[in-house]
Amino acid sequence: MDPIKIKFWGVRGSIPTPGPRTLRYGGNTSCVEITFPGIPRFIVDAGSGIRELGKELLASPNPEKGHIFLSHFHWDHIQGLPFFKPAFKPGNHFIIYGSDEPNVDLTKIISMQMDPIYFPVAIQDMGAKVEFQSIQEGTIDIDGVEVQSRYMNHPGYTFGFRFSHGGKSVVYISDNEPFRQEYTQSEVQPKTVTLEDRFESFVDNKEEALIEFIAGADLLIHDTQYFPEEYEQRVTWGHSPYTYTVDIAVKGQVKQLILFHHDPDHDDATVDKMVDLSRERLRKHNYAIPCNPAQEGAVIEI
Amino acid sequence: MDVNNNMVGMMNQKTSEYDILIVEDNIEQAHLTKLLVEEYGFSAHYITESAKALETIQHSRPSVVILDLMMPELDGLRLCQQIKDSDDTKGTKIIIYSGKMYESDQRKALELGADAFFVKPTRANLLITKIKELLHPLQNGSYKN
Ligand SMILES: [Zn+2]
Repeated sequence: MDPIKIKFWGVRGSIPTPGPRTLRYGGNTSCVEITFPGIPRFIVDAGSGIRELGKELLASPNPEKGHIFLSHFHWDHIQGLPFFKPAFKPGNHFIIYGSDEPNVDLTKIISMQMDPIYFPVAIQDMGAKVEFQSIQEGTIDIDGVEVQSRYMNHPGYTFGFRFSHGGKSVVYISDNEPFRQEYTQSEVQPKTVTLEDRFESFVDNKEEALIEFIAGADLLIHDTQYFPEEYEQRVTWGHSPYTYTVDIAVKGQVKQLILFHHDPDHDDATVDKMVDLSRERLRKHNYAIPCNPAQEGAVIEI
Repeated sequence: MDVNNNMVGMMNQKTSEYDILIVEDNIEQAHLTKLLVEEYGFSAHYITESAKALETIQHSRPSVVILDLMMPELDGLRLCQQIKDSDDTKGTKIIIYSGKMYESDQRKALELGADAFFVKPTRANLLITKIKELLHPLQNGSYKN
C-alpha cells in the first residue's frame, strides 16, 4: 500500500517568526498536511503555514477537495485561513472541522476573524464550497480514515487528533501540557489516611487516557515548546517541556516522534539543542526511535 | 444524613431525592467525592455518563451538581449551559471540579452560570465550605463541622 505522506507547512507556536534566526526550521505557525493514498487531503490547523500550501493547491488544474481540522482557535492555528486562496476558487470544496463553543458555533467562530473590522474580505466571499462540521470528543470516519478527537490540557476546547488508515496512524497534538502532578508521590500509611487525605491526594490526571490515545502510533507530532527550566516558569501556559513529550512517547510506545510547536523565542540552534536532549532522553529510556524537529517543508512518509 | 429538603421542594414543586449529584467520568474520583460529601452529612449520587446527567437532574432535583469538564460525549461546560438554560433546572447550583487549571476556562464557566470552580485536586474543606455556602439559603439542616 502507498505510504501516508505528512508535510509540515508551519511548525512554530504562538506567532510567526520570520528572520535569519529561524531559517532552517521555519517561522510559520502550525499547519500540517496529511495525504492518505487515493483520497482528498487532510490539513491539520490553519496557521500562517497554510498560505504556502494554498499556493501549491492553486497551481492544480483540477478542482481540489480537502478536510481541514482545527485543533482550537488560538491565532496560531487559524490566522492563515483568510489567506488560503484555494478557498476563494469556485469548484474547490473544503470541509472545516472544529469544536463549537457553548455559546458560539463553529461557523461563527471562523467568520468572526473575517469580520470587516479585522479583515476586508468576508467568509461569504469564499468562492469555493466551504462547509463547517462541528465535532466533539469522539471518532468519525472520513473516506475510510478514522479520525479520533480527544480534549487536551490547554485552555478551552483543544483537540488532539489521531488519524488511522490502512493499519497506520498519525497523532497530532500541537498544544498540550502535563496535568498537575502534585501529591502523586505521597506514600502515606493506609491506617492514618483519612477520607480527606484520599480525596486531596487523588489525581485524575488523565495521563493514562492520553497514553492510550497515542499508543503504538507510527508517528507522534507533539508540542515541545519548552525546556524544563522554561516550563517551570510557564505552568498553565498550555505547553509541554520536551521531557514530558519524550516520556509519553516512550510510555505510548510510538514509533517515531516529531517535536512540534517551537517556541517563538527559540532560534534554530536552540531547537537543535532540544533535539539532542530529547534523543539523549530516549536513549536513557532505552527506546531508540527516530526523533526529529518539525521543519517547514519537510515530508515524512510512513 | 438527616437533611431537610422541604424548602427545596417548595421552590421546585418537586422534592430533591438527594443534595448533590456528581458528574464525573472517572469512577474512582466520583466515588471518592461522594464519600467525602456524605461524611459531611450531605446525601449524594454520582453519574459517569455525562450525556445522561441532564435527565437525571431533571428527575432527581439535586440542589448542587459537581461537574467535571473534560468528559466524552458531553463536556462539563456544555452540560453546565444546558442546566442553566433549562427552566426546570436553572436554579441548580453548579460547582466545576476539573483538572483544567486555566483562568480562561474558569472565566468561561462562570460566564455560563457555574457558581464555583475548583481545580483538582483541591482541599476537602474548601469544597465542603463552598457546598454549605451554596446550600445555605435552601437548607436548615445542620452538618458536621
Ligand atoms: Zn498553538
